[in-house]
Amino acid sequence: MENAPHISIAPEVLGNIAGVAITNSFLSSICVSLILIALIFYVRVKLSIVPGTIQLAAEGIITFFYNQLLDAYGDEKRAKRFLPLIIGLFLFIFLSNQFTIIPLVQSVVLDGVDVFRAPTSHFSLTVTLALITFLVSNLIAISMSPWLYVKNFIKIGELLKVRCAGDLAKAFLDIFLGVLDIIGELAKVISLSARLFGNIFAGEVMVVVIASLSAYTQFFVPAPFYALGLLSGLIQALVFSVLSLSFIAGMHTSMEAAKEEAKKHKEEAGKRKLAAKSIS
Amino acid sequence: MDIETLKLLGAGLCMGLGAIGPGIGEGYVGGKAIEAMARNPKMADKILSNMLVAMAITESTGIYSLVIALILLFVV
Repeated sequence: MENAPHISIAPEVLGNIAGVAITNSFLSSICVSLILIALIFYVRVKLSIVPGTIQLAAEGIITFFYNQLLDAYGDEKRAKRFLPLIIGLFLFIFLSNQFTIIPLVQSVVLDGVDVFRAPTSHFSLTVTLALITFLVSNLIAISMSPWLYVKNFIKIGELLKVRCAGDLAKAFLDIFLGVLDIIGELAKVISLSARLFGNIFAGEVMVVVIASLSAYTQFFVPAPFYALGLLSGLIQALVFSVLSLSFIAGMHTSMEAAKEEAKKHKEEAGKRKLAAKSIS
Repeated sequence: MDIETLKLLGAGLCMGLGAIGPGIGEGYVGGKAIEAMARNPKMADKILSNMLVAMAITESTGIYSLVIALILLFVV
């Protein structure tokens, strides 16, 4: 283990600007953002009826996610509203995963510290992206109907209707299911972020470990693992965006269903009241 | 055994045992998807994208054990 490569989960600090530590993954995520902005302007300026390669790719990505959103919502207006968020997530994660593939990027070394590193191999970034999804899906649900949202998770409504022992057991089961729902909601953040981070970081570690095994495995042996990294980077970006799409759409549609049910419940109660009145 | 040995042992066991479940699961997902594609080649594109998402979800327990193994190796 004496010539083991230096691997750390936390990104290396390059310097300080006004007391804020600038790490190598932060620097690369800024570079990714700049590349993304430049690409967007390029596509926008070069927009033509006969599409070039990049325009074709952009159109393909937009159509793919638009169709996915249409499947999830079945509503054009809403699909268009969430399209930018989902495509933004996809493009940013995709470019961050492939950032170290750019030639010479990994050879830039300052004081023995790599200046660039794949931004998604830093856990904070993936947690942040997962939190964005979490907040968007939950805030939309809250803004639709705060009362129903709370009722979805804290199910003490059944406890008030208890008539016999069997009902009591059912009510406690309901409360337990509500607690499980809360845990499941939090687990989404962990699973989304850990999946992306684990895949990208493990790909990098694998390449580094194989390159440092011996002098003979430095040059051509890591190549298949780079290819694997390319593929898994694309798939992880796709999975992250599709899963966050389904979380947001699922929350939205389930809230809608709950609202509908509550409305129906109210109407039925009103009808029963009317019937009781007409009988008397 | 000293703590260093236990750490390495724990990381190896964590990754090895954690890879069993996702391995079985992904094989199942892939096999079923290919079965479906062979039966209905027109739907192959849609099945492929759904298969990738399902595989990534099946993989997540493996990734959890990977993250824990990495933490054991490099952080603790």
